Amino acid sequence: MDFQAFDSAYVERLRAGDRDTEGHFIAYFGELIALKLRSRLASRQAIEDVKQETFARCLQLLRSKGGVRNAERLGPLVNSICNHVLSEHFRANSRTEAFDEQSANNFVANEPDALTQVIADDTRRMVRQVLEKLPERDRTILRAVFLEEREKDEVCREIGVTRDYIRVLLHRAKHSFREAYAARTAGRQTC
Amino acid sequence: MNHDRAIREQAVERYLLGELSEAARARFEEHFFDCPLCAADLKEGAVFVNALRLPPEPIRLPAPTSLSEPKIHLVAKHNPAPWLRPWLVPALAASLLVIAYQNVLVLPGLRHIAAVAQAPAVMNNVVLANIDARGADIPKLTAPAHGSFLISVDVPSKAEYASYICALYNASGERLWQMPITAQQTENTVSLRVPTDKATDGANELRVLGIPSTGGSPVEVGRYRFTLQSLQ
Repeated sequence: MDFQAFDSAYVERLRAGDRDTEGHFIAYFGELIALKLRSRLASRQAIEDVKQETFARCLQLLRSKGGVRNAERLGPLVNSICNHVLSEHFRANSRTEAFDEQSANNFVANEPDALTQVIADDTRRMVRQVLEKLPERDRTILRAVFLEEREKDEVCREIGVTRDYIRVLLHRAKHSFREAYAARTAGRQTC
Repeated sequence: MNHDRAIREQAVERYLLGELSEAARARFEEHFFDCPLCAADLKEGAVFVNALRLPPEPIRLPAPTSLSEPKIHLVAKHNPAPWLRPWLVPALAASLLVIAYQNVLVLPGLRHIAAVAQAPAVMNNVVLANIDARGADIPKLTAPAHGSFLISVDVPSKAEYASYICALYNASGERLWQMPITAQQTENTVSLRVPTDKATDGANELRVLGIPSTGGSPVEVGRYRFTLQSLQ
């Protein structure tokens, strides 16, 4: 986990073009921007375009004369810039929507997103281990919701649970995954 | 939104499950861009959910509990029921064959595919320069059946178009896929990596449409034909 403090020293390093800080900035917020965009944009290319444009504007603003006044609010600033870029993207592409609505497949959208692609075998194994420890009913629910992408209400009706139960189940599974991940990381560090 | 409220409302879980309204989603995004705890929780959750979304690997999937566990008990602790005995050995043998098949053929194959995907490689390339080419002018290329090839196309960019769409059609005029291209990308030769199975063996046509800056429907700016031969 990465609990980076975005303070004035961090912003100053960004302004100075420190490569490590810039790399951290892009990695940290790149994941958040990708998470934000993937429910709003269909194609990986569009997500990448908006992300890159967001970073370009952030860095331009950071390095401009006025710079960023409140370093502690760097995160919300990135989010706000991303919102602007996204709005512009929608405006620029609104005219293509009719075309997009046709029946053809957009193969870019159907492929796993960037986040999915970086899931290592190791991570996948840990998730499987977490799943295997769950009762069969809980495994069925998670698979129905995320793998089969079935309607959550339908899954709830079928299995006899509430929407709250799915949230708690996800929370618990996520927690187990975090523990497995932490144990694996600790194991590696002691090697 | 503050951190306590995000925890109380299970905002991370709701976000991952797509349960938040647009306004609530925007509020939580404003928060997690500012909160390293929620950001870390969300990132981990997303990795978990993404891994859940991947189709399970056949070899590693636990068999349905109700079927597999009793069978294991039967072999380990009890004598199988008389009616089951004729089936047990062939069933176990079949299972072993499946496992052997997956270990010997499937997994090495997948590892090979993953290694190939990450290794530098020379890609088969088709350069599309002639709009509406016919006959002998239609470029041909070969590509591995389960691999990819590269299309290099010079999009005739014009100031009146804000962006472009590239779409691939098969010989029957059926669109196979499309993707957006920015005006900036058209300043140079545009390179598209295409999985071979996303194109047709034989005649293919790449159509480029311009999106007018002033609005209106996309305008076709060029059609490029090429012939693909996929190699098994």
